[in-house]
Amino acid sequence: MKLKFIMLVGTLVLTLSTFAQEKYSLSYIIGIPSGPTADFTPSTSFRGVGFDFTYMLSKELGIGASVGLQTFYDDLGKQTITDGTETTTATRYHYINSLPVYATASYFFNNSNNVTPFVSLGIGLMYNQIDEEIGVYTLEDDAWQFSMRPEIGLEYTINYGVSLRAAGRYNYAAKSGDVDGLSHFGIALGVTWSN
Amino acid sequence: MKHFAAAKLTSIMRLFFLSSVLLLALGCYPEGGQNVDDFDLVYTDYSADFNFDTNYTYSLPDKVIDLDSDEDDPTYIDEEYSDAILGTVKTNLNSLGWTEVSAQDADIVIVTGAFDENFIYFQPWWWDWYYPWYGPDWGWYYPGYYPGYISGYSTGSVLIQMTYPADTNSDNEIPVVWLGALNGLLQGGQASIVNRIDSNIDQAFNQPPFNN
Repeated sequence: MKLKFIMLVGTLVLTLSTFAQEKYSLSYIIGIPSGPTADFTPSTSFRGVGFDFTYMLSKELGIGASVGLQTFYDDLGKQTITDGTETTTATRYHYINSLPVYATASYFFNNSNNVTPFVSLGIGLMYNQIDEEIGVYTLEDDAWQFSMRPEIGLEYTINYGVSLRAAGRYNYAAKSGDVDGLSHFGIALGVTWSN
Repeated sequence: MKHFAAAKLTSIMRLFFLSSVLLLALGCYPEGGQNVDDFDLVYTDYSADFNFDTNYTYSLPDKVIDLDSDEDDPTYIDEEYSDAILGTVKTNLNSLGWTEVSAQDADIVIVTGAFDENFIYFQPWWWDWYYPWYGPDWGWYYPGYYPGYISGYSTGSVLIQMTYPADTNSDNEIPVVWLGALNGLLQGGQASIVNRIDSNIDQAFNQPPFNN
């Protein structure tokens, strides 16, 4: 029984390694805040990067990992905020730094031309750091939040092993503790290379 | 041969994108405030039980106490700054319809202090504010509210307290019915700092309860 199992695993590994191909992607990401993220930092973020690694199990199916960093920032100008009898007037700057880390599964719709559509689902965690600068002071909060990221996109092959990549994704984050789920949409534009 | 060319292209693109990512991550991080007055903060708090709508008499000190000083006798901040602070406070109080009188005759006794030391934590009940006529055993209380602490690094702070001696309690504590605190970076010339002090004191008097 044990021998059969080892043989089965061995055959599976051998089969997978026949397709063994690794893809690496680097993307520039435009972040569009949603929900509580948009409440705190309403502006679109043009400061985002992402790295994706995919290990192809077959020509269509791949598993991998993805990390990214998106900085949301807003200059709210001089604001007067009253809470009970306390009133504070100061120029306020809001920041959210989102760092999602996912395990991913991706499916590539291979066809004969250079364009390969794909869908992907990432499950993991998003580290969110929230900074609120008021005068010379900074109020900070942070949280690791459960996160999922559905994604659809296209890869356009420009040369052997090199593709341009465009994808739309939604980085969902769940509320954790007293920190709301800080979700956002992303438009990722980048390059993929494979070996 | 084609494969070799492709591999070379991949390396170039990889280098290009890694460089771009580094530049993006390091070079474009938003920086927040750029001007000195972007870091100014005005904080006020008051006793909700106190009626501010009456035309009170008030007294102002001649000088602003330097709260950094460790001396036994009170020391004061430079006149250029204290004149600006006291003058602007006076203008705002007069515009409320209040009348300046001597300290002994005043309904409201104003005390003012300032400090510029790094890493100071402001807890106003710690300091001896050299009240006009009371001894060292006298203290403060904040009726119905509790002012937050203010800390700073390389910053200057101006503190203004309105006290109401008629309600001094059995522990010889004088109620502070209003507290204003200004905080900002100690940067720029004297005229610039004076301008910021003036506009921030004006802002303090545009906040509750005086903006009703």
